[in-house]
Amino acid sequence: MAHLTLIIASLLGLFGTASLALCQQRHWKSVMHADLSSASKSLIRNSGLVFLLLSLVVCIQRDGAGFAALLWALIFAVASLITALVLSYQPRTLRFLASAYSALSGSSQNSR
Amino acid sequence: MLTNDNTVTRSIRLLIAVVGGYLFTDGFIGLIGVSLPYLGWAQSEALNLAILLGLLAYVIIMIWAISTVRLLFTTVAIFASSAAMIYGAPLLVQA
Amino acid sequence: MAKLISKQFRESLTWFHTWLGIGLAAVLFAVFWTGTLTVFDKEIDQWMKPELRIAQPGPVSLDQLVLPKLSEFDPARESEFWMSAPRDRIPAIRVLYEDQDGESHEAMLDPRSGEVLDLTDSHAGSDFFFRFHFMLHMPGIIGYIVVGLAAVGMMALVVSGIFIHRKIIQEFFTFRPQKSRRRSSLDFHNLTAVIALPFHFLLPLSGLFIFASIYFPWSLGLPYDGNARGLNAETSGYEYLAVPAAGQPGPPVERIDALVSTADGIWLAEEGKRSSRADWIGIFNYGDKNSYVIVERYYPDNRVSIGPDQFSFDPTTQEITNRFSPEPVHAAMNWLEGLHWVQFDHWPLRWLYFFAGLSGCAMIGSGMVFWMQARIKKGTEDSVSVRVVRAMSVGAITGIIIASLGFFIGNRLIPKEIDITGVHRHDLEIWVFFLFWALSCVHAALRGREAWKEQNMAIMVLAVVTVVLNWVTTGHHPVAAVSESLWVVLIMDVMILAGGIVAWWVALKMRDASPGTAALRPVIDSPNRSPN
Repeated sequence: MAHLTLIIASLLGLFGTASLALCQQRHWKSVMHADLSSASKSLIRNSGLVFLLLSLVVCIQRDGAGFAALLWALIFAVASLITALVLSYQPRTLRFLASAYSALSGSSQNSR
Repeated sequence: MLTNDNTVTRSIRLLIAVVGGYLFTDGFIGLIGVSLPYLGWAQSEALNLAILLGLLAYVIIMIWAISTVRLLFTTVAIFASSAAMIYGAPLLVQA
Repeated sequence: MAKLISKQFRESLTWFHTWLGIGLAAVLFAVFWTGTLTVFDKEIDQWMKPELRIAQPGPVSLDQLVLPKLSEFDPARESEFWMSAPRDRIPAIRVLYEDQDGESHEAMLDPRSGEVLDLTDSHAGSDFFFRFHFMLHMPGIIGYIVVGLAAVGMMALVVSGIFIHRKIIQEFFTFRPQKSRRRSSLDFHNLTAVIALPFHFLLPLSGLFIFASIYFPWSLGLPYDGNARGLNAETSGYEYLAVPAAGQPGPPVERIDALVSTADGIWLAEEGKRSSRADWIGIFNYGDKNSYVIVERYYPDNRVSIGPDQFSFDPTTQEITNRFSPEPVHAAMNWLEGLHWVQFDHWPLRWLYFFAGLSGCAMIGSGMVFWMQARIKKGTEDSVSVRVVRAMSVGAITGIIIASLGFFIGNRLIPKEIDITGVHRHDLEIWVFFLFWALSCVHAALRGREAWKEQNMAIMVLAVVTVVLNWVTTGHHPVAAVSESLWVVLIMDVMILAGGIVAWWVALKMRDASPGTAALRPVIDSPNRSPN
């Protein structure tokens, strides 16, 4: 159980940082080779913030606030680093997430 | 004025940042540490808070000394306030 | 934000960040590196003192294993004893006492038999790397002052770094390795700096707070007639709970386990299932009629905050005589101190600390690389300052890593029973550390541009030597480590080898593109160029 909650918190952190990166034109372009519409931009940013908030909630639930403040901050740090490295070396990895956002926002992002 | 900064003025700024910042912090911790007990704070609680605020003040003083456009004014302000606190704090120590 | 920050303000802070950063880089790297290793200090202890490689014991009885032995330690009467049962990262029982001559001792007892363990004389992780982290192995308080100034500098570097970073949000996730080495080193410096920003500020802050009585003796001594330790005494609880000795002999303390259960039970009832248990038990006024026992949580297992939180007991009646808990501000500070001490039992968080520490080291290293690349771009590559900084960064980065490996190698090669008059074995190990470091610095000064590559290769070789020496001298090769459940030893060997492979990879990369040739490439900085 303890391991499972930690994995959930880490995944939520990764989705959060990946979303925050994707809401930026530069990174979206490197993943999707298309422009990011302003409607999807706010959807992606808000989803990213919600993911990070949920990650914090899971951390607090797991270990209490004293540990969670540190655990969440460091999960965020590692997730950010992974996101940045994925974007520079294997941006296609994030395509599934970007496509999901495209479908959700219903905008016609024509990816090449 | 800043664009005319040369190595000498920059070294002076750094010196004021480190030494002035230290004196300010030491005086600040002393003053807050002996003043808060007058408001009913426990001595140790007052000092603990004073150290934390003092360390943050150190950083602010450093950034100020480095970036100020009125170097003379900033220098006088830092050293005068430090002197006042270092002189004043012992007067407030409760017997 | 952009309008609030004037050009002048940013320029002055850029200058400040650049020069303070390069000036403090070597000290900061040493502090970051040893701090990162100290995250696993108890594990390093087990590796360097093989007698401590004991599989985790179950609960032990201090009544049976320690109390009957206390008189054998030849303690001074009316002195104090401290003892701690084995815990997650320390498989042995620890006993601290003062002998008849007033000298303090620490003994480690075998949790199975209660016998005193005959440990290899090494300062290892929890004495050498730990102390180096805050006093650099310098005499007196010189090292504390150097590290203290570096810590204040680190906070100022974080703040000035935020102000001078033009696109902190837009470039938060940006790393462009395919661009010029100057650009990519700055990207990497920014990336590693911003992702753990709160830690880069909170760790120097809490570090300064821990040693405040050394840094600000005047102001902290003011309310205590000049005694800067007065604050520590007031907030420790020991003075509050103290009872003077009667001066008459009394019965020895015979039961402690029950007192620990009582204290743990109260904490459990008050705080629920996440409550921490007692870790240290003290016997005061030993052998006196007024002897008393303190059961405390100093480095609690299940929370971040450290600091005393105590019950005192009358050992004859087994009754609680008093209790001490920290006040609100102090409790908040205990959290701040606890996040720096990292003594809790939380493995995922401990590993995250370790990697965050390594990423902090990478931040300092990439900052130095950027400084050099910026000067190389200006065409001042052969200036004295670039050559000095190049040698300094190699000596500071690969130098201390080589020295640390040398420390491990020295530990495995110096015989346990070595007997040289006037020289402690643990000092010999430390000399090996500094010998390796000095050699690295000399090599860095002599070999110029080649030094970085060669020292990274040396790290790989030394890493293999270190691990093989561990197998040869202790027999704990991977198969033996797995079969005896010595995970700590196995993981440390694996981490050393992994570090060696990373260093080798860096060395190979250097061969492909030495700093000079990369700098001659045209700098492509068009903002719209997509990475693909």
